[in-house]
Amino acid sequence: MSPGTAEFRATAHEVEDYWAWNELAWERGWTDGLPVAPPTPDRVEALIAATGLAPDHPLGKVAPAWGEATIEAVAINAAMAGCWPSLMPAVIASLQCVLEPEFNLNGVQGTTNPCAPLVIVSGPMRTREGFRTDTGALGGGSRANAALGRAMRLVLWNIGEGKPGVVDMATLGHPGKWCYCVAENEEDSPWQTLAEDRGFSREEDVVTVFACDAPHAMFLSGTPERMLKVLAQSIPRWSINMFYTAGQMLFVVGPRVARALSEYGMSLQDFRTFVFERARFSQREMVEADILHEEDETTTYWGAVSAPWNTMRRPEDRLPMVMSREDIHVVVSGGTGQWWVALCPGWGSYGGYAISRRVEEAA
Amino acid sequence: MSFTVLEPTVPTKEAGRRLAPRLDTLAGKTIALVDGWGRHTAEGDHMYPLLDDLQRRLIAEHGVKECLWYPKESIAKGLSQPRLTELIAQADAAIVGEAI
Repeated sequence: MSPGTAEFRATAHEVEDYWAWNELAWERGWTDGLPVAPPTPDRVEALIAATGLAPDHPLGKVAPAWGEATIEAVAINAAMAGCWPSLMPAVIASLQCVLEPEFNLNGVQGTTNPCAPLVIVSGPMRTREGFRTDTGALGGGSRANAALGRAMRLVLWNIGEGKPGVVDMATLGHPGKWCYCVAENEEDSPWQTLAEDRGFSREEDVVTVFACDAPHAMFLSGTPERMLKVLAQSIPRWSINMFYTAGQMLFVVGPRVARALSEYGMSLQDFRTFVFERARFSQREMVEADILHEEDETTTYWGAVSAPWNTMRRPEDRLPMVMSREDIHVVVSGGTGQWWVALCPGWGSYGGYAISRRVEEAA
Repeated sequence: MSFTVLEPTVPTKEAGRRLAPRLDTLAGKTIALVDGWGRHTAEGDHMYPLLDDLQRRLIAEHGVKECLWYPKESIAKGLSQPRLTELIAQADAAIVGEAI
């Protein structure tokens, strides 16, 4: 395809200037409220060309409206998000993650839960494309994080029509619905990467998408033993999704905490095992806090209805937050200042499970 | 200076959807009630009082022959294809209950 010769399926509109375009986008419901870059034919054409795929190549249908995500449609939304050509393979891989049945995008887009798809970037593309991995990693300051996160959001908005009050019934929502993307700080981490943990090599570009709530930051200072005690006591709370439906959860661990625990002799796997075995809901505490009553125990917490945990009735029994160690995901990201860890609870057992894909270079 | 932009939306299932033929009467019909939660309660299998009330009224006031309950396997997913096939075979119409 020569530049400037593309024919598009999408309807074209003539606008007077940038602000006229944004007024049109707002009036037609093409943006969630943030300004969007103009998807001009030349920019869209360049994004399509970067994929090496035909404009009408179908990636799948995006729930809940089940619109067909063709390369052209995805490229238009990526252009609005400010993506550049070499970012397109990551946009496509991220979309392919949420289109996996296990992710249950239809549910993620419609639930009352405030979860949003978080894109996690691993591998050499972090530095090549300029993703922010250090200080403020979850909080902006990078064109790459913003563009990839926004591209996902706009695809789910315009092709899937996950719009609040229409089909997105999230009672509260969370700010990550605007844009939710984080990249691993592989350079400052003593542990294996999330991608390695999920079977990829460090040399591969990988995206993982996990539907989760907003990050809940925890300050863990002191000795490693104290850090672990505070963590174990802090997270198994009765209002968290995991209490009701288990599912999966993600820890974004600051490099300083990861290093302290590593020097203490704890690997990523050890950390995961620790959380699984020590951060548990206490049967005794539930009864003492008047949370658990004998007559409604079958509807109060997930362990009461899921084997083999449903046999736990003794005061000394302690229920894990998730069903297995593998349901605990760990990413090291952020700066080296102070000792911070963020917990991002998933959507429980309903879906939104972490899905990873290698970012394929254009053919 | 004016310029051209491309529309970011695509045709959706909603745009091409057609309604199934309407029933001419409820009398003597079998109605499926799809229970969005499908959770067992102390009173029975049904989560929503609204559907229970609908069932009573459909039978008492509209001559519905029978209501069949179809609790979803998961609140977060639609009926599975086997259950949907069963519903289509057994019921004349369905009420999909979802209450929040």
